[in-house]
Formats: sequence, structure tokens, C-alpha cells
Amino acid sequence: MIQDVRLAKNGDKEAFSRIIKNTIDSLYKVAHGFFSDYNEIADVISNTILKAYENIKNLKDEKYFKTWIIKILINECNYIIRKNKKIVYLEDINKDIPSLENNETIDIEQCLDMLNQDLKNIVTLYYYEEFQVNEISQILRIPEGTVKSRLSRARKYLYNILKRGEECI
Amino acid sequence: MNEEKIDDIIRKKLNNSIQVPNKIYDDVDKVLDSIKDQKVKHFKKNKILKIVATVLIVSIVGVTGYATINNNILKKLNIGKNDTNVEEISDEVLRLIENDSAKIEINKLVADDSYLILEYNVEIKEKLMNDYEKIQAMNGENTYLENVVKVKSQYYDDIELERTSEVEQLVEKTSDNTFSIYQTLMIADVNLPTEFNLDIEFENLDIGNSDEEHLIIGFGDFEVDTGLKNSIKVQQGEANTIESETDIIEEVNATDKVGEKVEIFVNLDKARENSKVSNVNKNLKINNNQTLKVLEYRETPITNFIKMEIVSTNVNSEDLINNTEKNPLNIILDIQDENGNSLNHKELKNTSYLKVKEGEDNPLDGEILEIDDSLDFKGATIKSEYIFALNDLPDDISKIKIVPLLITDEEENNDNTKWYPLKDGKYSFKNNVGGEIKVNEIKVNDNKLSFYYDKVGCMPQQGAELIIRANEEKYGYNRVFTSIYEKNSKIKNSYISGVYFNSIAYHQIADERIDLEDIIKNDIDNVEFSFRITSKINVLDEKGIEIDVK
Repeated sequence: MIQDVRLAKNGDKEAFSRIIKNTIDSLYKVAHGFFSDYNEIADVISNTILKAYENIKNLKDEKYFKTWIIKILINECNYIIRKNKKIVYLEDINKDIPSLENNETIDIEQCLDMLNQDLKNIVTLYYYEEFQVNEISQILRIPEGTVKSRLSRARKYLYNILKRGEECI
Repeated sequence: MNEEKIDDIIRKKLNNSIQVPNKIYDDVDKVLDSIKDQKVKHFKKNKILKIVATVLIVSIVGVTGYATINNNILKKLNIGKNDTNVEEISDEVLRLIENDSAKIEINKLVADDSYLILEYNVEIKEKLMNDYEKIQAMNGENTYLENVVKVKSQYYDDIELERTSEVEQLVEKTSDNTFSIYQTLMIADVNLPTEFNLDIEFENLDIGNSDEEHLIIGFGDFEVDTGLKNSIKVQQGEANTIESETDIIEEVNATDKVGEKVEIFVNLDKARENSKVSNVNKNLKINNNQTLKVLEYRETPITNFIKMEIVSTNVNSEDLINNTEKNPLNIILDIQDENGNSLNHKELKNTSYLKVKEGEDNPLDGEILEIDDSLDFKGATIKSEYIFALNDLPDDISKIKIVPLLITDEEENNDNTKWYPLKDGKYSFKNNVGGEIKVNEIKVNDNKLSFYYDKVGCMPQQGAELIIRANEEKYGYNRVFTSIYEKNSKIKNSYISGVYFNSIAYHQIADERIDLEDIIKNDIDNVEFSFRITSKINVLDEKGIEIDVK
């Protein structure tokens, strides 16, 4: 992979194709954390790939390719959301972790959808993509302490949901 | 159940929940095919202009009793001017946030039209002392408190002040388990009413600066009783403590709250009585498409600042892609004395907005949004807004001029860099317009490097940066870039000193952050430095716009 990234930096389009194909699943899962509509997901992934190709020569360290392209993807998702959503209701901003009725059970994908975007990003990067806290901090440009506190909240929430469903514990 | 096991369960469950559809592979193939057929477009933006002024200042000093906001504190925060009298505009606040693990006493708020500064004390309680001492031992004496309470976001009425990423803070240790914290919010870019309510949200205390051993004290799981005048009493609840080292998650009575909010009433009357506003409104036509406007020079009790903008018309996306002279992002504004010597300033704002012509088919529908790489446009207007703080102007200066410069070339991979051993002496570094950095003295002590230098002629602070390199084999890399961080930014006797945990040098990638203290102690003979001249400079209008500052 690192060799291919190096080649891609020097303009090798085949090498670029190979590294992108290796990261499609990751790109899809992260984008899925932002959008449910397939067309939107496909659009942001396309834009991300084009932008990555335009800028790959500026990537300083080949081993951080994945971190780098995920960062581009998230910027792209945020851009689309910002463009499409001109009014942000305060309730949306303040909603962090939704509350559930005592006996209510939902599946894990539903409960992911109910998280606000900040927590959803953390969950996606940490659990799906297995990035470390310091890497998430770099990707989302937030302090590590914030990543940890959000992760802690999301973990507790997801764990409680799973416990309620008694699906896997 | 420990954290690791919980993570495994969640991860397993989540990984089964998303199936990647086959269609995406076909769609990506189409994109990759189109790349093979296309000529690549490159957006070249001026990196210097995109530096974000996010600074975390942590100072650990032994102080008897609690400190209070004064000129020294402002100097440490790198925001105050010499004749500041912050006592005049500081208000007692007196709020208390408390749980089983820690107590936060908010003491003072200092506010004017440039900054809001909050002062509060933190006490780690007995219940947490065992964990706290463990973390302290793991992180070492000087590194046990990294970022403290977050001022997460603020609103007044319907205007949003999101300042999380720009918070600068100073932490002073006042005893074994107490700290005084000063947090600043730059507000020079918003027009606030004289009176307003400020909501501040305390999210967590974060103790320990290594990745593995953190102690986080959350403040989100508490009910607030606002019934008491001048104080907020917090109902006791279970503390949310996490210690990664031993993978402990305490069971908590989690509610849905994020952080603890306090509301503080702010009145800017006194600060405004002690401020002086000069509406400058002078224009300079840089060329047919670009105009520099100096809007306002304001002296507030805390900071002197100048507001400027450059309006660039008829810009096409190709101007950015091909980095033509019409690329407004390549213009930098140099603050100079009457004789053309560059003066130091602190950039508080540098943001560009793009407005596409009405009626054009464009992706922005005529809206003004922050510039984004993905735009494709013709005939657009770009407005770049600047706010610079000018806190350390020499005493004998009565006029300054704002001179637009064009950066025509970046020499990031300059192999001609001449490296010097880190030894005291005199060194000179010149740019292409004769501007010079004269290093007069280099001091090395146990944990800090200081470079004392003068600047002569046109030497904008974005035009040169200090670089240091160490033993590649030993430290895994051979070059470390630093921004010029001018704590004392007078023309004469300027110096750079490290405040990032005893380290002047840091790398963009945290994992590769250099341990300067270790190098200084053990390997100082192998360290070399240089001032890299980052750009070729073209002075667009030598006269610039002149304004009175006395």
C-alpha cells in the first residue's frame, strides 16, 4: 500500500486506482455515518476520490494515506450538509444522546442514526475503522480529550442499548 | 465489564450492521476511469494564509494562593498590551460547579470588544486523589494537566459564538491539587450589544497528556438548581471518571446532558468608555481586480486591533487552480513602520468568503460561504477579512502602514537551506526584497531554546520560519518545522521560546512530536537550525495605506 501511495504521488494512475479500491469499504462506512441515501454517499465518495487525486502530491507521509483521505471525505460530507441545510434548529444542536422509554428497544443501526453527528463520527471512526484516539483527533480536528469524552458517552449509550436488547451479551 | 470487552462487543455488532453494496464498486470504477482520461487540476492555496491561530498554552508554576487576572497573565496568554489595566474591566462572577471528584469556582470575567477572559479555579477532590496521583506519576511532574474545562460553545440571543477551537488557555498550578485557569475567547469579529448573557458549557476536565493515561472528569451528569442568586448549586451525582490505563468504566446514572451550563451576564459599558475607535475607511486599489480596505483601528483595554479586507472581483476557479496573480489567497498584508520595517502582529482573523455573480449557474446559489476546494466558478467576488492585533508597537511610533505583498513562490523543499549548529552567535537570513532576520543570541537551557533576533526591512512574519533538525536515525525524522511564535513581539530583541510542554519544536503529526527536552539534555551537539525563507515576495504597493496609531 505504501509503495502504491508513493507511486500515486508521482502520478501513477494505476497505483492510485489500487489504493482507492483498497479503501472503498472504509469510505462507504464513514459516508454512511452521514447520509442514508445511496446517491449522496456515492457523490461524496466520488468527490473525495477526485480531490484526493488532485492533492495526493501534497500528502507528506505515505503511511497516513487512509487518515488523510478520510479527513477529505469528512470535509466533503460536512460541506454537502452545510450546503443543503441552511437552517439548523437549536434542538438539533443540543441533542446529543437521545433518551429512550424504559422498555423501548431498537437495533444498533437505528440507535446510531439517533446519535448526533459528532458522536456518530466518533463511533464510525473508532468502531468501524478502528482509528486510535489521536488519529480521530487529527481527522476531526478536535482535542483528544474531547474525542475521549465523546467516545465514553457513545460507548455507554451503545452498551446500554445492546444490554436492553439482550442481543449479544 | 471492562472497556475493551465492551468495545469488542460494540465493534462486532456494528460491523455486521453495514453491508457495502456492490454498486459502489462499479461507481468508483467509473470515477477512476474518468481520472485516467482527464488532465489533473491542482488547487494551489497559500498554506501560510490558512494557518489557524489555535494555541493551547499550559504553564505550570508554583504560586502561593490563587492568582488573578492581571497584566502578567495577559502576557502569558500572549494577548495583552503593555499598558493594559484589566482590573478596571473585570467583574466578579462567583459561580460554583461541583461534583464528587472536583470543584470549579468561576471567579472573574474580563471583557471588552476584543476578548472575553474567564478566570476559574479547579480543585481535585480527595475522592479522586489516588487516581490523580497515579496519573501524575505516569505523566511526570510537568505534564499532568493538558486541556481543562472546555468552553464548548456560546450563544447570546440568536447569534452563535462558536469558539471551541480558538480557545486559548493558561493553566497555573497553585497547590498539589488546585489550579487557576484563564480561558480566552477572541470576539473582535462580532458586533456584540452592550449587555448580553453568555452561556458557557463545562464539558470535562482532562488530566494527563499521554495517549494511554488520561483521567477525565465529566460534568454532564448533574442536575442544575438555578434557584440561588449568584450561584449555581449542583446536585450531587455519581462522577463520570475514566481511567484508560486500567480500563475502568464506572457505572453512572447517565442522563442526556452534555455538559454543565452556566449563564453569565456581561456588560461592556466600562470597557467601551475606555476604548478608542478610529473609523479609517481608506481604500487602495492594488490592481484592476483587487482593492484593499482598512476599515477600523480600535484600542480596547485589552488589545489594539485593526480590521481590514481585500475584495477581489472577477475571479475564476482557474485563478486558484493555476495560482495566477489574481489568486487573492496569495496576498498577505504586512504591517510596517514609516520606514518600511516590518512590525510584528498577531493574526486574529484571516478568512475568505466567495460570492459568485448573481445569475450565473454556480454551485453556491449566490450565497457567501467559506471557500472550498471543490468549487468551480467564473467571475466571482472573493472577500478576505483580516483582523490583526498590534499590541507591542514601539513607543516612538505614531503611524503605521499596511502594505500588500504577493507571495509568488513557495520553496517548501528548499535543498539549499544552510544549516547552523545550535550555538550562540550571530546569524543573518535575507529574503529576496532585502528584508533580514538578524539572530543576535541563542540561549539553550534544560528545557527551552530561545532565539533573540532583530528584523530589518520588509520581512513579514509569514515569510520566514524557524526550522530545527535533529539526528534522523535516533529520532526517526530529520526535519522539524515550527511556526514563528513570537511571545514578545517587539521589533528589537524579539525572541522565540517554546511553551508546548517544554518543547519549541513540534511536528504536525502528534506521533512524531519531538522531545526537545531529551534532545537538549543528551544530543544537543547534533541539533541544527535555520530560518527558512518560505516565499519570494513581490511588494504590490510600497506606500500602502497609512494610518495614525497615536
